Amino acid sequence: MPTDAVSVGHLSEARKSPPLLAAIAWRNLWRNTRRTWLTSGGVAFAVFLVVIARSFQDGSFDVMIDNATGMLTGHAQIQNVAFADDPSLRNTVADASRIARRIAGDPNVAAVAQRGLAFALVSVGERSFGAQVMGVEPDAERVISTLPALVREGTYLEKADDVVIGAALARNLGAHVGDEIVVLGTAKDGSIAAFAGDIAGIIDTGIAEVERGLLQIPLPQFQAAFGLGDEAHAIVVRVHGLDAVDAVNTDGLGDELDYLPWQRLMPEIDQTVELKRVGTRVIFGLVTLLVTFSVFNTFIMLVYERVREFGMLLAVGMRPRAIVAMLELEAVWLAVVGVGLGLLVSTALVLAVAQVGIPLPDVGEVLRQYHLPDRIFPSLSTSAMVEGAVLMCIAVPLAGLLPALRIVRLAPVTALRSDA
Amino acid sequence: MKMPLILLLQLGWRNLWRQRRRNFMLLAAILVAVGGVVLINSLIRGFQYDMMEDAVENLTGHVKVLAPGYRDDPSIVQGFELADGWQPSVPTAELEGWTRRVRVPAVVMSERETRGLNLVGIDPADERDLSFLGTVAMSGERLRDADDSHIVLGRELLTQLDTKVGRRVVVITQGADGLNREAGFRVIGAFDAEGTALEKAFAFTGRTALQRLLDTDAVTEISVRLTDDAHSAEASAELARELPSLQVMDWRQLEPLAAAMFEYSDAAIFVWFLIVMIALAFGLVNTLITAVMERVREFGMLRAIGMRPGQIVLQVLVESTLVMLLGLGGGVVLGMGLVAYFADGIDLSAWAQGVEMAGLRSVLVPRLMAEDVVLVTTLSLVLGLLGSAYPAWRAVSVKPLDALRRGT
Amino acid sequence: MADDVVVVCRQLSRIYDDDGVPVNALDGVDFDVTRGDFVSLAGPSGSGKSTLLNLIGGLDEPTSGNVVVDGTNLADLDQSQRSDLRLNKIGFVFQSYNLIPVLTARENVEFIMQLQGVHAAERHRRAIDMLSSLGIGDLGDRRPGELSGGQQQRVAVARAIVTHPVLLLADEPSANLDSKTTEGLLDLLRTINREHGVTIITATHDPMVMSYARRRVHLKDGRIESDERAGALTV
Repeated sequence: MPTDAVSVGHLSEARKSPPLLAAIAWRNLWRNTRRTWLTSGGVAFAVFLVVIARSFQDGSFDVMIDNATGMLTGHAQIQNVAFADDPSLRNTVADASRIARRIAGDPNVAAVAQRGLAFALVSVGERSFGAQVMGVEPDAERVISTLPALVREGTYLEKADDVVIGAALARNLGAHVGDEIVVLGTAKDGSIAAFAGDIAGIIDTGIAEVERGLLQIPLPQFQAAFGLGDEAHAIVVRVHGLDAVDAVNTDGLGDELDYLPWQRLMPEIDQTVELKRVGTRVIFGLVTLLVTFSVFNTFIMLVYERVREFGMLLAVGMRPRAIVAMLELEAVWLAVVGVGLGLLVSTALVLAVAQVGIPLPDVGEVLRQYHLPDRIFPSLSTSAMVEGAVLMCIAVPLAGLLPALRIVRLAPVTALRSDA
Repeated sequence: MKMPLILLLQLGWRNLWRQRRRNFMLLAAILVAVGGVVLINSLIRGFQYDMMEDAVENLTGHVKVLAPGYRDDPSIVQGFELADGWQPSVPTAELEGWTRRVRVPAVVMSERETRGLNLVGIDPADERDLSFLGTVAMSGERLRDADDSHIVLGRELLTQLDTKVGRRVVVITQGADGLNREAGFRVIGAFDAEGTALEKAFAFTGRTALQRLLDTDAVTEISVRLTDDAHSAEASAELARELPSLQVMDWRQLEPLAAAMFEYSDAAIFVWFLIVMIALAFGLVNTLITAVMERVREFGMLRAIGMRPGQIVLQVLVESTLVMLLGLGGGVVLGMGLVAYFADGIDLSAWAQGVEMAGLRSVLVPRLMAEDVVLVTTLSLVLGLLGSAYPAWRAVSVKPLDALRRGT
Repeated sequence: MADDVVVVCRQLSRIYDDDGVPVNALDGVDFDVTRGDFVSLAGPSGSGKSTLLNLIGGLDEPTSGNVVVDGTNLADLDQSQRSDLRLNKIGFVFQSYNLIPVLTARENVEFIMQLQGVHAAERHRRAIDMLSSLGIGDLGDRRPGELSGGQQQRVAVARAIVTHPVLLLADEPSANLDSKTTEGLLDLLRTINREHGVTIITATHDPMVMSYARRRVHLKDGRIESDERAGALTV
């Protein structure tokens, strides 16, 4: 066999020269082309799978977080420390406008809006429903929330006695633009809070759950009606890029106030992302295990077939350890070929699909409920590429090691006589 | 002249033991793949059926009857009356239970706070087998009967209202004449639905008590629970015939989110199976090809002494099917073992809110379904046969002459 | 006379394609074998002796010309029918790798009968009889790996003749054997030829094998160079 000649010819150098050993290993790899492709194909599939899955997830997660935070919640909020557990009217941010101005000065912050929140009975004519009344700064809301853009009929808040309500609430109340609307609740001091205004616009978010209890009035009117001074319940913050959310300077907020990034405001979003990542890990783990078995088997077969050759190499003076090293190098090459192939194909696919996006079939409100867009654009996950590549470059040589170690126990004479 | 199958099986079995290490690894791989797929399937099924049950139990039932305008305007004005002694015309064998309810939006006020929710008038005895009320944890007392004029609130709502069991709350809701009613209710119990949105969304009182408050004999919904979801379509059609002026909807229409996730799960099971099996296929084909290639001389000799090409193909297929069957058997047992090991459920409470958003319960209990095992087994066998098609073709395309020469 | 001719080859040619260069392995050979004969095909490597043997066995197809075995023209048969012809009428012995490694000696002998559909009891009896008549009756339960080269060849012969083939083809049967074992094998072949009337054709370049044959055919460059009866040498 000509390849034997290659191995033997450079034997003396091979003993001390790893680059040459690597060259021999590379040539040995291509003695059985089909097997090499099949084995590295498995490796490539695993890498492909993790890169594709994570790229699509990352792509949809980014949009999901954007959509979820963009509608109402914002990237972060400053609240009274007690408000998260007890969202009642009395747990306010005092000196709200001063704090809002201070935070707005932070270079990481793109926009800031103050909000007051109270639950109240809302009536139009004879009909009454409970709703979450929100006192807002209209101009700030236009920047920070998508709701003002979702006004379907009429306009967003312009005048002092303007009210906007959710479409489902409007339907339940039998209310239309221009109708008078009365808000009745309890003020901070326990007295009756009352506000009367005209419906200026109706907001249609497509999520019945959100808009069934949605009602916004201007913040000064809210503060007056509910007996608040310069107080708000939340100062909503929008930052330049999600990563900047932790960089905002929150020194001097004091013990009374808490800065809550979106992960704490909407733990369900963060946890959904985590949960899906765990799911992907489980599948990737299983696939990696299967690929490892496949590599293990390849090396069992490879060692079995080449016992004679190894016997000859031992006979001419190559150390068993050098042969094991050569086999390990073959495993490394195998991993490199597989990983390279997997990265190449997955990157090409992700980049190609990222141009057009993949349309998601919408069923009712499902996508909006999950804050998903109707089309997802994968974003190439470099961390998945690194993780997949590193894991495979460890797993493959490891799987090859056990069969390769048999060489150490091989007696040259029996090996040469073997009828393999 | 047919090759006796028993001879093929005998040859296949013995050939399996020729390369123990290799075949053991192949078996292990199939075992892990099939076992993993069975567990993953069961977990997805568990999720899927939990979700359907939750959807059905959230006062939905498999089928619900509403007035046509109720979905847009959920008030007592959109109620309907039922004749005395009315019964749904669903065969008793398929009927788990049914009830009528009055469900109206209401505002609940304590001394300190105000909240909006759905006030539901129920027949407590009916709900036992019908909705989550039958099984939910309670502090305080449950409603006694349809005439009970106390109120039961969710634990979370109780906290938000800053009140407790035994205290009174004021309820404002719209009566049948369109005018608001205001009434005091004593809270006799609080239900604990594991922090889900249910606790904030619903309050319960007796049905006839609520009807008295609203000045009506009407109800707003009939909810029917069946023994099996498979009967839903038939029961819907039957109820629609019986109550032509009303709107009949099954849980898929009422809970499109859950229904979509239900469908999605069916697809997910197939996709995971395919991914795992493709990963397995690389190793499988690799090993099978080698098993054929190193026996080229043997196949040549078999051809020379008179074995037909078809019989050679059959022999290779029998051998790979044997490995596949062994692996499948072991894999299914392993999968069942894993399902049994996780029978108490996998605790997902670390992601509690995400879990709720995804429609999961905080403890995911795997659900092993016989039809899935059959499907996995059949598809794996088909895949195994496909995987051995190429090796078999290689075995038969060996020219006996070349094969035998190779030895010289 | 036709009844007495088992193999008829007419104008047999076989041209191989060796990397684009056509090689005439056989070049218009006419060759007949009468029933009960013991023929050795001899000649240097590449003379065409193995090619001729393989063409007679239906393992290879001629470029032109005809092979008729026991009245059947091989050109009329498809692959499966040729398999059946080999199964029922031709026994094969190769230089090595004769036996199915996972079957015992007895099972190897039974294998062809199993393919033919012979009943288990009958099969069993015939296999045991055959092995003992070849002097290896006590080795029936061993697998090929546990047998010496000579023993393996005996089992191969037993398998080849247990179904009473019309023709026994042996390709370099002595190639992997020492001279003493070869002698034993050849004695066996001669006995089979004489007592059972099995026609034997061997391809060989072992003079010892040739010395046992009744008819010696020498090939060179794909043609028959000489064809002689060796009556004087046979006892």
